[in-house]
Amino acid sequence: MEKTSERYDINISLFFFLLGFLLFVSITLIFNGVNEMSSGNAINGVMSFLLGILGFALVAYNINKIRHRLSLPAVLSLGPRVVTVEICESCGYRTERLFKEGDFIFGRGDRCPKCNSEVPMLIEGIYLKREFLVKAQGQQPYRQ
Amino acid sequence: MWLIQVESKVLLFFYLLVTQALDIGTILNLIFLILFFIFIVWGQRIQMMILLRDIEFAIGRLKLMKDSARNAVIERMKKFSSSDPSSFIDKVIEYVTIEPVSLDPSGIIWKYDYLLKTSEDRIKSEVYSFVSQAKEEEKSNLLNVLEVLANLNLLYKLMRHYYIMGKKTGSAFIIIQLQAILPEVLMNADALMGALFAFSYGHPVGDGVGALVAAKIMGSKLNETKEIARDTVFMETTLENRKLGVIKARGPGGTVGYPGDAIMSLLEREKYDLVVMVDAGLKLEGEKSGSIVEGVGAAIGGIGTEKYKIEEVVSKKGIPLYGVIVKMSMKEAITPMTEELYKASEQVIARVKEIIKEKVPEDGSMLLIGVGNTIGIR
Ligand SMILES: [Zn+2]
Repeated sequence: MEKTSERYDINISLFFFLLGFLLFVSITLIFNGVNEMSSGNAINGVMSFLLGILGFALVAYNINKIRHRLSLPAVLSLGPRVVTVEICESCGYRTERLFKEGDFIFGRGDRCPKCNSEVPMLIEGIYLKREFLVKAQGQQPYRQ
Repeated sequence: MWLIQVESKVLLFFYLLVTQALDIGTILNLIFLILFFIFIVWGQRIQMMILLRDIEFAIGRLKLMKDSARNAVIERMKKFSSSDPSSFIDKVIEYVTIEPVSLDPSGIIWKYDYLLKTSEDRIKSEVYSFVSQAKEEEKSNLLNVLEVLANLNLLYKLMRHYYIMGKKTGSAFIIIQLQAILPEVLMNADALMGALFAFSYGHPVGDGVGALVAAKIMGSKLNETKEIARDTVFMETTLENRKLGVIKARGPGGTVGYPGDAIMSLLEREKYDLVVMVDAGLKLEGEKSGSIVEGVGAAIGGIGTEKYKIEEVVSKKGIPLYGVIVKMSMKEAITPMTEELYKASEQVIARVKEIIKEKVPEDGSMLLIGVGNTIGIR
């Protein structure tokens, strides 16, 4: 099992090496093209320049693809978007805050900040909010 | 000696070629000619190499996800146990349930039922004794987390199997099929990663919308429920002046319960005029998440044992069976419940009220089953 996983690593590093080589060739071609153009060799210059740009685009495309494939999914940072809605049963005050472990729907949450009643507030809902910018709690807002 | 002579001649040839005969147009022509022959001869092989590279990256990503999921589970279990959980986790996620023989299918449902319960008991007892310090709901959430990790592991191993097969045999058909299902596999893996975190923190998931509806209808009487089947609770209340029985899985730990067993034992001793099931259903791409559809029949997923029990008992008693389904994607079903799905639960309750008014007489009674994983919902 470990052997196969090592093989992926080798292939990926070889791939990066080839990409680096292609990048080098492309940059040389672009420079060469600019030189030739300035020395009056228009057709050759343009050809070389275009080839260089093509190689450059190929490298960029491949790197973008790898970045997509090797990046962990965005759900890892979903945590801060789950909110808990609480309602105070004695005064009806409703708050929304970040979910914390141990919360569950129809369980008990914090004490009411408004009337400070003895009974903690009832957790009415827990859900993933689309845009929830948490500034008060000092957490990084999540953007999709 | 002759080698050096040949070499020097070749070098001279190239030198002359480059300095005198060739301008860039000729070089390009030559390159195109060579590429043309390369593609004619090795075209398919090159294409397969490109596909294999795609698949390799996907498998690398799956491995990355599987490993980080495993690490997250290890960290999680370390909280509740003093010994190192890694070998325990590796053992548990490889457990298999061997399917009963289906040559003679009569009575196979009960064999399935028995096997499922036995395998649940086995994993439960081992996990529970490993994390004996955890709270009850944290223990059952851990069971869910391990199940998700086992799924992720299986996905990775399957993809790797077909990848190695494709490479070994060089069969274009295996490779093309593998490449065709790649996007879906990666999407499912993404969803499983989301599920892993939802289950370990105890977020309610989209699949829990049925349980949420049941809990909301139970309302303040949630304390008066009694357990009528394994992990399944029941209570009686009134809705629109009619008697209403409500069944849901026991929360807030992650479990789906056994609504089939519950309804079988309940209908043996009580009479109901109508059974309504509320469940999450997979939407088609393009359909709106949180939209509600209604129909007739047992709205419940899974391997089919619970569905069988419910269909069996209501058809014998001649009770009409309605389903209310909240549509969502596979990912929404197993990741934290979205706002739309949460709001849809209110619409479902309104619909249930209409149904009970329309279909059940004033002195009649209705049974409501909130199907789904009740994690994060009491
Ligand atoms: Zn208050």
